[in-house]
Amino acid sequence: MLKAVVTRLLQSIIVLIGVTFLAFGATFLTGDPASLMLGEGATTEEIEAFRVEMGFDRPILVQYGDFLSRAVRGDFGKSLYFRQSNIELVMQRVPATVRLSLVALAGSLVLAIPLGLLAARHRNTWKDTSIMVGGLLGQATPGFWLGLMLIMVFAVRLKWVPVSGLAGWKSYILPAISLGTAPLAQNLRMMRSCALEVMGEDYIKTARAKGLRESVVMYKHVLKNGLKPVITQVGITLGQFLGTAVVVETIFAWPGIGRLAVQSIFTKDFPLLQTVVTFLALGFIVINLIVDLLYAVVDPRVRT
Amino acid sequence: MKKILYSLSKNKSGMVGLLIIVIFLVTALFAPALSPQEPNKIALQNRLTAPGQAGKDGTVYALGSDSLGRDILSRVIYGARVSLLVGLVAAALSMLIGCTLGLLAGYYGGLIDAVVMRLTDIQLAFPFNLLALTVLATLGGGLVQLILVMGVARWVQFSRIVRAEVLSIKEREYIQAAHAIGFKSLSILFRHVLPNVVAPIIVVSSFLVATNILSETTLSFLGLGVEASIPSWGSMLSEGRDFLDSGWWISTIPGLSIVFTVLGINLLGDWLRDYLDPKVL
Repeated sequence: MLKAVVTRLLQSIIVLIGVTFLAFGATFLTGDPASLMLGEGATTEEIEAFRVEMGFDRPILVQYGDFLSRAVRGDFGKSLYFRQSNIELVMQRVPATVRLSLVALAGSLVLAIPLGLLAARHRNTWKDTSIMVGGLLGQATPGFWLGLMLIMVFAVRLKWVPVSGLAGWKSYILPAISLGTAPLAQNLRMMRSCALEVMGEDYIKTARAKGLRESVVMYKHVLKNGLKPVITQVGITLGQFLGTAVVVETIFAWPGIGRLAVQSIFTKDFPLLQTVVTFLALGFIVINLIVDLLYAVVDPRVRT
Repeated sequence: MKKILYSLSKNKSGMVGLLIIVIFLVTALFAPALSPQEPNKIALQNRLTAPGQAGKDGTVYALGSDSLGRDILSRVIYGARVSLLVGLVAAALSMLIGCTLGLLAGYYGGLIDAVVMRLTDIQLAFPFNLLALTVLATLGGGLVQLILVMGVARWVQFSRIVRAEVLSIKEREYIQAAHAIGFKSLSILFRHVLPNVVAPIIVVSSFLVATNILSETTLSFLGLGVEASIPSWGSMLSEGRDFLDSGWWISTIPGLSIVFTVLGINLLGDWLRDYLDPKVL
């Protein structure tokens, strides 16, 4: 067990180094970050001076090493656009993203589990069919388009909720729906197929034969045994949120890290972008690590 | 072939999926014949005409016009071409890269395997949207760049399937025997691995096409996708964003086209998965 954990940790560190190098290297894809940042109006002398000031004249590996050694000490430099410490900017934005993700995740699970069980219990009836059609539609709908449609109906026309930004609990409703619909659909279908699998097992037949009520069988026996894959899915869902948050947060002007990423890209603020990417990857790795460990706790068979 | 069609005809949702895909393909292939107008034709006097209404000069717009008076129907029809192109070409590129790397990693093992596996981890740890945004923001957006980014970024599933299969048959007697009588091992492996991985690869590719279509819309929506001169569903969504009040149809209609198309591909993909029943997935 301990060996497996250590191996996983080492792998995670390698991955993190790879990701930061990717983020770092992307800045250099264009050739010259200095002229990009200063824009077209800058003179050659200005660009040259800026390059030396930022250290862009050194070889890329030296710069990357410098970036890493400072990053380990918590120094991510200053944002070119916001003129503020990168790490502060990221930390200010993390809570909004985490809260939105948790609301969306909780909402999608609370709906997906009972709906999936319901569909499995009434297999091949109109209930099952309509739930599954809903699931298929949810999987095919881009979250940001759903967000636009929701804004159009509930914010612009009906004025029930604010159009964008974060002001009170009402602001969470539309972004959480946009973010949570795809995982809802995914978890719903998974819950249904896992439940169906479990329902074919002998111990469920025994439970029914004992004369237990159908709802007890479903919610106690089937749910307990069919939930495991859904737990794994939670980690994947949270990881996907980091990606979809980028565009959903942009639509709702949500003060989260996804929008900060887009802002840093469009303002060509590469030091900030590197910081954001590093933290997103770190978040992703930590989530996956926790899920793997949780899974090992739930299922002793994987502890090898 | 007959058996496949028979199985498909027994599966209602698979048939619906097939029907949607046929409509999508016909639309994309015959776009010039099907669209009532030139998709980029600007008619400012007819701007923001509602669906089914006639503009100031009497032209009827079946699905309305956008803020420049361009015909939404024609643009949606032409947009299908972009989606089809991006979806298929990027998936094919991913397949090529993934299968090659999987074969190499499984066959040579050791350092190559370790490198490929870590590359896989890195890819999985990096939200695709962010990777694509970063690369496209530095390289500049565009159709070709978009396809390249998607193709290069999404080979993980393919390499895993192929690698697992190579590992499982590498040590079998018939491979050893073929090796002993002087066949080049890599070519033997390729010939024996391929038939076993066709089924999972088809299934993965079908879903990947849908994923790519969704990504195109996301990136074009953020302004980093397809060039403005090419009508695409994502850029149409984005143009409609400023007219949620005065022109609901501008964003709604391309969005519905996306949902419809992706739904069709997923339905057919689900059927393919059940029919081919690849054990590796």
